[in-house]
Amino acid sequence: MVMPRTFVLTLVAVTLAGALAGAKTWAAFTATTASTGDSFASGTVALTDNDSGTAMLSLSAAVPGNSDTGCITVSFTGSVASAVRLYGTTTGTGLDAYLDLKVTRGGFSGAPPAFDSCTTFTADATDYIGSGSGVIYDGTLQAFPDDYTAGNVDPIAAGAETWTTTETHVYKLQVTLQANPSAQAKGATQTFTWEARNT
Amino acid sequence: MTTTHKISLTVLIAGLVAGVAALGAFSAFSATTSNTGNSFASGTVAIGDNDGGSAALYTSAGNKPGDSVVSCIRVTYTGSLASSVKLYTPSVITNGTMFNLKVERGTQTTGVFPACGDFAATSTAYDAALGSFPTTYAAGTDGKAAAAAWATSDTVAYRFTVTQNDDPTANAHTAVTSSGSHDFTWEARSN
Repeated sequence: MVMPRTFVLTLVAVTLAGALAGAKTWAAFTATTASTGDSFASGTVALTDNDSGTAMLSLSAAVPGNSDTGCITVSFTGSVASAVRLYGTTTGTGLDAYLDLKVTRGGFSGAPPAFDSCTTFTADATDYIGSGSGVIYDGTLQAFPDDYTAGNVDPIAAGAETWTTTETHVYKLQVTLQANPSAQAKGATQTFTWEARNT
Repeated sequence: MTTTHKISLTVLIAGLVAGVAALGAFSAFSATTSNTGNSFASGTVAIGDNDGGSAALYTSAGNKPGDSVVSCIRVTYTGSLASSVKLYTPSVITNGTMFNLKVERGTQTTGVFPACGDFAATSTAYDAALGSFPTTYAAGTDGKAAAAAWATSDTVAYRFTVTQNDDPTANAHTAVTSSGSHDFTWEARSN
């Protein structure tokens, strides 16, 4: 009685082991082929200036006719050709309506002076907007564009400059307080931004 | 007495030996028949491409948004067993969201690798971020549309289009962003 039962159990165990082994051995044959060493990288768009984070224009306790002038050097260090626009945001108590801004593009004819000196500044020869050689903006600070979309295309919308690596231009900014009684006891703070976008 | 007794013993032993020999002589009749020349051999799984062994599909730098590179590769199955082919990358791709990869299947009869010649697309295998491309066979992109099986001499051409994605974030690209070097593997497994 005992012997037959043991025999049957052994047979079942062997059958199960065989089934497991069968499943494991049915691996597929494989082969591969490859493309190796592929890569894709971006170019760069980078614009720098020489202000070291300091302001270039300042008027305090100004009277009509007072003005301040500063020069800033803007350099393109990216690798992808780009167009540049100039714009800026204003805060304050409304003086921007009574401040005239003139922006002139050019370069330094001699060794670059310390920021924000305009010594040896030489304007571009082209009269871009009919306001004199190199002038690219001539209006109130209030009317100066506030964002890239409306921005002042460098140097002029009809002929955007394509900036390439190491290209540098100097911008002379001059603000002058208008002779208008309404300008009294007001203030304005302005940020100027040069933005490059690849073309 | 002693001698006679010895002789009797000797005879008895000889008789026993003879009896054993007689038993061996009675072997059975036998006959055989054979079926010869049987053999069993494996089938083959083999796959190759036209990149000359190691050339990259693309090495592209200095791209701006919208710039792309287009390259083609032809993959041919030379095994004897029906197989499933899948495409994946075994590599770690960096900045994978910055680039889009489109892989199309098609036919191509002209053009030297990696040129596309007369490539004509028949289906799209993948069209998403380069960094999301599958990295294992199990997750791989089907070599043929609808995961159809590959038979001997089947060839499929693939067109790879990698595009620089747009990214208007200010000052996000003052330094180069690169995918890093990566590979693509077509793996065939017998069905």
